[in-house]
Amino acid sequence: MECFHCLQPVPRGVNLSVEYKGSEKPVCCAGCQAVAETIIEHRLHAYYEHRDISQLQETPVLPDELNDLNLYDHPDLQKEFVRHEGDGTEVATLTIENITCGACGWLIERELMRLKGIHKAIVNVTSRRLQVSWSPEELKLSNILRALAGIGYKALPFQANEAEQQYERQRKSYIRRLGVAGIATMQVMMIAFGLYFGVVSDLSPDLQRFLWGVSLVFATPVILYSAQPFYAGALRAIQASRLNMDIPVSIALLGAYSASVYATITNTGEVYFESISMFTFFLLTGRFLELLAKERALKFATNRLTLLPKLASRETDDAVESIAIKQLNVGDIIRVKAGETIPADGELLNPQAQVDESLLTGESLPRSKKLGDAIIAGSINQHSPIRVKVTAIAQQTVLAGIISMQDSALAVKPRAQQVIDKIAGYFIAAILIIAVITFFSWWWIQPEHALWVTLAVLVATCPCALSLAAPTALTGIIHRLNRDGILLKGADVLESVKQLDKVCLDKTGTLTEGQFRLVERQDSIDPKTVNHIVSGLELFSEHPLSVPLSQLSDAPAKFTHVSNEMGAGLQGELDGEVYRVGSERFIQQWHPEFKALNKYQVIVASKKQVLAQFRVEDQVRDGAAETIEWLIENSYEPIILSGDSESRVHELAKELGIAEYHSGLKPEEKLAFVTEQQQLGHTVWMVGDGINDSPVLAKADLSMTFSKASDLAQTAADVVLMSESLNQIKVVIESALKTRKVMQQNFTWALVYNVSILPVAAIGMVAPWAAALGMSLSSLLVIGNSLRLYRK
Amino acid sequence: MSVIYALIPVAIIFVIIAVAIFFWAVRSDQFEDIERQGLNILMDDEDNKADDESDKPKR
Repeated sequence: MECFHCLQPVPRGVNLSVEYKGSEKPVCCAGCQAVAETIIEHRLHAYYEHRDISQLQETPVLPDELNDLNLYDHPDLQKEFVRHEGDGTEVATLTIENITCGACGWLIERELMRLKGIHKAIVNVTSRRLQVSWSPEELKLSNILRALAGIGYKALPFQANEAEQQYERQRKSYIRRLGVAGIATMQVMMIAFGLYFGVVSDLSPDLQRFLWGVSLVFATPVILYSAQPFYAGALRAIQASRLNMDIPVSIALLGAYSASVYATITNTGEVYFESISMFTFFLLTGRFLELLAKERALKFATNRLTLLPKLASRETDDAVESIAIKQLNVGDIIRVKAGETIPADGELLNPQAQVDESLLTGESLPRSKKLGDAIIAGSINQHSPIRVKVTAIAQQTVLAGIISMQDSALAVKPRAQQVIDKIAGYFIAAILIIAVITFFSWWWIQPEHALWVTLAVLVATCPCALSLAAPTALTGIIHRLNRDGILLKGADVLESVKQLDKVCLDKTGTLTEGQFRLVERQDSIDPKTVNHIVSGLELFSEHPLSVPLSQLSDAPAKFTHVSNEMGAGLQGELDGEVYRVGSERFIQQWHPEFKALNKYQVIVASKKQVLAQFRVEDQVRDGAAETIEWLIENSYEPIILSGDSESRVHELAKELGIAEYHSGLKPEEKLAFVTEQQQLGHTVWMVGDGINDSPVLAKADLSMTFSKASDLAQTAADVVLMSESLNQIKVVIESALKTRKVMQQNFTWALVYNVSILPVAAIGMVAPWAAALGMSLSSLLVIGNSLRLYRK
Repeated sequence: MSVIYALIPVAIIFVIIAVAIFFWAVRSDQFEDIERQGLNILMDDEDNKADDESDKPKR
């Protein structure tokens, strides 16, 4: 049974529903129920009819999380992302994580416009952004966020990226240039057809001259305005004394244009207005698609840099105050509630605490801390509220150290050289030499034809198809992977996949799910009774191993006199009988001769007998076994790099058949391992999810992470996998290989075409129409070939 | 054929107008989120229909 709102399976024993169009629809949780009711009540049900149901929706935020939203009204925090307009309104751009389709955009806009005080709400579905403006006297930002949470969307302000604004301007200018090129090229082509007919029938010289003039009028904005990015690129390359594809493109465009203008004015020779206009249009299209793909990736990356309310609770002489983390000082005493992230490095002031450091160290189990132990910023407080004395803030924390390690690793990351620029070098040299030879040969035979034949050579060899070969294929793979829920941030994957030989994987959260589940059990009595007892008793524990056990039964037993022995287990009374659940040693206090079977860690017993044994494990991620097998088959060597303990890593490596593994690694040791492999000449990919993986992710030749990974890992990674399955690694490698193949076919075709038309042009046999036709056909062939990548 | 000498300049003027309108459209952000606008018309239509239905009992 699927939840009506979020489309995820409804858990056993949940019996909630909403009324929709006269019938009861099942929902999975109170959150979904509340959201669906709000949507239906506000008569926005069209959302349910038009939304894209091929993707799972995120489960909405739970109501008790809503209180935190008030923090966003804090003026200190608002300074960073709210803009005041002249007319007294405030404007902010928010990122909304779980927008999946156009229907979401409609729903959000409709819901917000109901609020009093909202001026404008515009959703951009592609970039998952909401731009909203409101009057601060009538409405608070937290109200807007709460209204969004009410319909199941989590909106957060984010740190705007300057590069993004630059992309925005660039994209708009490209649209304009493309529009001009498109409209003008159509006119030039129309007139060119008139001129082509003039070849076979009579065309008065006056009319021909008039049509040439009109073509000149239309082609001029294309060459002088639309084609500017190519000239700029060529100039930049020359200034940096490099060669790129823009240089031969610019030579061909400007050369053919000047000669055509000269021809029009003097009424001699040939004109190439239609060739160069079409050429500009095709190339601009390729560039534009490339730009869109890059911008999209960048926007996604920026969306991750959300501004969380970074506030801490500091103890003052007589109270607790809420202050920005930036304002904390060493020596302050702060309070951290259960489930909160610890804001600064410090010393524990409570007798004991459990903190989850898995994101920082890769350790899968929470660590027990005693009075005076060091607490690291970025770890999560598991149980009861704690007090911490701050010992390091902001730049001095362990977390900040990892971030700076990541930054420096990113700076020295090996970047694949652009193949296309290498080809461009040879290409320019060849064209120029051949053009010069052609000119002088004709000068010697028939001087009056020398200029026009040379020009025909330049136009015919114009590297249109060649310069489309790479960008169209690149855009193809970006779209293809996007559709499969894989986000590519750059083109590095295409270069590095060629030499790829080692794939390093993190353990906790990458090869495993990072969550404990019941794997195996052994019952001595009826399992139902055991479930009843175990789930009842484990409800009193907050240990991560107990979570899956407490959900075993729909109707947990109601225990009394429950006591919790730290690090051992629980004891409780039910119907006059005393039960225990916990470690082997804890049970042995009652049954000294008892020995747990191999790997079973949680035991249930009554005073009289041992009832059952459980094995709870951090489960291996979906698709891990197949992926590892596939990697080995294709002679990519998988290696585990984990911060977790030797025994757990060893066991997993054995289970998955991975020969090489390294355990207990600190972030800098992971980084050192990959660096060493790279120095030995290996191409290393890294898959990881934690903060401790982010430096090595930045250093690896290519890195992948999951969309639920830490923000730092997502910033560092080149590829973000949206789905939770490891099989996506295989998809990335296969797609990249396929794209390389398509790209090579494109290059081959473009070169073969250019080389074969060259001699024909050099002997003066290529008329302007033939040059235009040949160039368009070869470009379309390249585009068509790249379009194959879009298909499944 | 001499009419072409008048018609083509007229066509040029039309093209200039078209480009001007296009530039205006780009400037007023009409190319920002192309993916989504196609759906909008559908949604609002449904909404009106739903409004009509729910209005009926009141009349």
